[in-house]
Amino acid sequence: MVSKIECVDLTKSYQGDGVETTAVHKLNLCFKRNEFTSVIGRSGSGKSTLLSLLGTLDRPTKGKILYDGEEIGAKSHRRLADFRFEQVGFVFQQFHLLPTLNVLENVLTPLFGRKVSYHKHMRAKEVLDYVDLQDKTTALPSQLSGGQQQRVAIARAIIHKPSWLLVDEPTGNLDSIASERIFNLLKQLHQDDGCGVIFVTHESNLAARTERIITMQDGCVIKDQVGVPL
Amino acid sequence: MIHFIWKNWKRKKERLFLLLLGVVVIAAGLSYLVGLSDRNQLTITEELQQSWQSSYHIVVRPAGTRGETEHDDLLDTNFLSGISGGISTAQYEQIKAMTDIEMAAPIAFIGHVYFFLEFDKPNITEPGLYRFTSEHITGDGINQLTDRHTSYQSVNDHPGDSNFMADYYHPLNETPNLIMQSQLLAAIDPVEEAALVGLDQAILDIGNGRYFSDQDQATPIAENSYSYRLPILLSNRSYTDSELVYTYEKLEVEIDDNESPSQIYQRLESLGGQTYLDHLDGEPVEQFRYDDYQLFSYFANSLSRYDLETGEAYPASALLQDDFQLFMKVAPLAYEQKESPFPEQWPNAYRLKTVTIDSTINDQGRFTGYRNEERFDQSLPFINPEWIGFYDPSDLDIAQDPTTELPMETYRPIRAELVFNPVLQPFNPPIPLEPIGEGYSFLTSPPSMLTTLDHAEQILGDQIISAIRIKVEGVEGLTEQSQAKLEQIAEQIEQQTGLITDIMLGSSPQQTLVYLPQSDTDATEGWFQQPWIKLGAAMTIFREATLSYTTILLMTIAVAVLYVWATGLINLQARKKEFAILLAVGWRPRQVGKLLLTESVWLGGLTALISWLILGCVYWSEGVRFSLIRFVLAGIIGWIIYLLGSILPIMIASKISPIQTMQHGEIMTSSKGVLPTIGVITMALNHFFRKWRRYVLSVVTIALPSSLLTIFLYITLRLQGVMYTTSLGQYIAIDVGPVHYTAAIVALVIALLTTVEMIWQNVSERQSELAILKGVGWRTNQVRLLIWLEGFFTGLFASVISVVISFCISSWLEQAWTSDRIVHLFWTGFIPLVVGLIGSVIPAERAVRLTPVHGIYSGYSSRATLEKWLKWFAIIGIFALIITFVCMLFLLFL
Ligand SMILES: Nc1ncnc2c1ncn2[C@@H]1O[C@H](COP(=O)(O)OP(=O)(O)O)[C@@H](O)[C@H]1O
Ligand SMILES: [Mg+2]
Repeated sequence: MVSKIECVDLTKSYQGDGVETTAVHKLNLCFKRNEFTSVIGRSGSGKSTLLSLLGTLDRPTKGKILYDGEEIGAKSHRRLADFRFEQVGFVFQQFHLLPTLNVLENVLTPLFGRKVSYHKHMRAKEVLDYVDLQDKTTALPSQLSGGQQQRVAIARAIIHKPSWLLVDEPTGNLDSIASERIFNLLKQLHQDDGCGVIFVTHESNLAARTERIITMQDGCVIKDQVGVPL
Repeated sequence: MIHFIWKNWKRKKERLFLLLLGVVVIAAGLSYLVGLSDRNQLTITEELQQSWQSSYHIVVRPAGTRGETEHDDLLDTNFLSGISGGISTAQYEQIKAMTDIEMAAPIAFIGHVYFFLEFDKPNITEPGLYRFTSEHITGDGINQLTDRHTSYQSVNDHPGDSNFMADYYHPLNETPNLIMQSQLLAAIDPVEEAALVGLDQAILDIGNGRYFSDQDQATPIAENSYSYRLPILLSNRSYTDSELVYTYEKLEVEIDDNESPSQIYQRLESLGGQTYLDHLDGEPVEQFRYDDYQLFSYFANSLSRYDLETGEAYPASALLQDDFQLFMKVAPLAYEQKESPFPEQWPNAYRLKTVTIDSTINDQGRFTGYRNEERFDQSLPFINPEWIGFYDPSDLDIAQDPTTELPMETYRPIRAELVFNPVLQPFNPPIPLEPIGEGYSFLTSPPSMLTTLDHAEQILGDQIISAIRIKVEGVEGLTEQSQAKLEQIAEQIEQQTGLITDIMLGSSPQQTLVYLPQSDTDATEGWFQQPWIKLGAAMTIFREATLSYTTILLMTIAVAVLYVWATGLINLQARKKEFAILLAVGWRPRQVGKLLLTESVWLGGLTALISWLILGCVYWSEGVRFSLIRFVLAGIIGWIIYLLGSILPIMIASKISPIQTMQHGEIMTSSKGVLPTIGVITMALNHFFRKWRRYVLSVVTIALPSSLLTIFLYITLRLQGVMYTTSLGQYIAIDVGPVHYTAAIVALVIALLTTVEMIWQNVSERQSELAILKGVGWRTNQVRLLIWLEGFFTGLFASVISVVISFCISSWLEQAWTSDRIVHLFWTGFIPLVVGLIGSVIPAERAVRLTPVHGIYSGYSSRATLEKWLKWFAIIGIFALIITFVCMLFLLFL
């Protein structure tokens, strides 16, 4: 159980077409599991990059990330995969469901080839219940609305009981009613399961309802303010 | 995992269909190339062993008997019977004592023995002057040579004058009607010859005829003895075509009853002598005709005192004397190189050298011929042939089919066919040439009189062996080991005895043109084709055939692996995002690799199963010989192809980063187009250059099989070059050709599949782009053209690369480049272009069918019912396959 993620001089730059883009520049931040943190900023300000670094999807160019004081980033791909499996759940803006699998199967994908202490199918039903999709288990992603797809993605992100939920603009492609539902779901997860949530968004009204609001611009944090208690 | 794979395949039915098509093509190709072409390999070996086997492995001959033709590894068919001794008995014993020599049969072609046959006398009583004409007509199957003698004979009551001699006249019946004949005498070792060709089994049951035995011990010649007794086995066949005609004509010249021979002669002289008489008309009164068989049986019957035909005793003898004179040794033919007028059909041509012969035996005096007249020492004793039995050459244990024989058997006349006259006008069909009989002529008859070496040595000394025919122990059929062993033994013989050896095992007949210039000994001038012995040809063919077969098989496998790689990479490209998601949700990278590997194992297994099924059906229905190794191999190779093919995608998959999930799905244009986009063509070109990495793969996967195809053709041509010069090769080429073409076609179909997959993937990825283009009003044909252009550019680049590759490889294989080869090369350059274009047709149609909405919202159009149906279909299909397979195994092995 990682309860604290610390960024030390975290820098990520991309080399492309001869131009170097620094997506994230010398960030020093500390995330706590008991906080529902939101990250806002304009498009291109480095939010997604930060999230992928925190979730070990990518490695920093400079600096390091400490998970409860331990540096994970330099470990093997296999160890990183295991770390993600144990600690991190992702929710993407594009939902990224596997089109060939039905809802239940999509939710089960993180558990493929893993030994777990709980019954996989029961757990899948449980999380689908949680996101209120118990009657859609055999549907294919293409038969669902955007909001439903995103809820499947959340179910998939929490099936392996991660300690952190990294959410990248989950409501970006949704209407306000669906957005509200997703936001409430995340809030509920934070409260019920004690999941640390890092919620990237560009909707300031949603961010304003979180416990901590980090504002980014050009790869730097320009504001780090306390929000409202949930 | 399997469930996951199945789901993935199920959702991409068109791709699955292509994938399965690839499986079927590879399986079918493998079952033919590995499992069935085995049949051809077997045929080759069997043919070589059965039909083209000489009854001996090595032939040893005296040093100094190499001819001009041997520069081309060619042995004149006639060569053995032209060798007049040269190997000593000591050398023979030395060879015979070597290890691993199973049989060593010596043969000495001694020469032609001459004798006179006396024929019927005319029954003419009416007094008068008669003209006697003797015509000995010998034919070679094409033309005839006539030997005509005329003399004048008188009939009256005068008792005659024993002292009288004149050149063209004598009283009738005062001297016998004689004809001089000759037969070829050879000496053999009875034991070895019996073992080698079964001569002892070919003895005819005529009279007290028998084979050589212990009775026939040779004893030294008694001092001052006039003749030496030789036991003789006589052939029952004459291979010549000759006729003897005696004609008596009465002339209008009065002969008085009491006129003496010298008075008559004087009167004839005063009338004008022979010239005058030759011009007189005569009235035929009596004629005798003897055909070839009669002539031969007169001789045979007289010698054996049995009638060759009836087997009854034959009291009379037509032989003038009992002792025959050894007169003329066998002599070789000499050739000189001549440019072949048709090198395609006859790679080698020679001109027979002529010699001027100063004959003492033939009353023609000086004449031209092909063989020198080498006379025996006239002080040698005469031979006294004692018949011990008849043998029938057709009962010998030698290849009896003259079309497939190695043309060097001692017991059969040598063949030649007239194909062109001296000015190269062809004869169609060619006219066979027959031996003309006398020892001088181009074709010689096989020896008709056989004696033992021991006896012959008593008269002629101990250096009379012309050749030794050797069989080596443990040499079974045409294999590399046999060849190596023979080479080693031949080498040993040459080193220890200084004699010449030639390995006959791997030789093959090769039609060679021989130009016969005009001569007095032979009747026909012109170009003849003769099956000569191409040394080592069969071995070369065998090696080449095996080599090219192996090369082609390996190349086909390589193309198949490339195809699997290409599809694997395309597949990977299509599923990159999917794998990134799986990695992001915590899959280990190895799991992704395992997924790909499992897919390959399944596809490989399916390939194996299908090729086994095909093979099983063929083995079972066609009754082809079952080869377990080939059977197993055909399946295993299919499996290996898919496993090998999965390596590269797995390696690349392990490098996929989960970060890709964070990137948005917009059309990513990292670099600008090379050209300004002003139309369909520039748009296609720009796309081509922008996605150059992908196209490199595509271009290479087409270019490689295409250049391999060029090499296939090249190897096939080269093989045919080796093959068509020899009869054996021609025969085998018929078997080998289809294998090569099948391999090439399989490779090409695989290349086509690769292209289809590649362009298909490009179309799938650009669905939204294409949909937008349609949305903004592009016409169907423009979209079609866009995809076609993509295929065209792929093909074009592949063409260039394949031409370069094949040019490099084939110039590495062969230094000299002929212009038609280059033309050929450029033609094959069109193949990738065609493949590229055809490959783009199906994807283009798919792109055309795309509705704009469909593309933009990239909806997943799956109908549950269809899926269920497909699932059941697949399950039933696989069960059916397995059940058929089990049944087949059952049928095959029980
Ligand atoms: N793979 C990449 N290669 C090059 N530049 C990238 C890459 N990913 C992101 N960037 C750049 O990094 C910056 C930050 O991007 P991102 O983190 O996606 O921003 P946000 O999520 O805030 O919109 C942008 O300027 C973007 O262009
Ligand atoms: Mg972003």
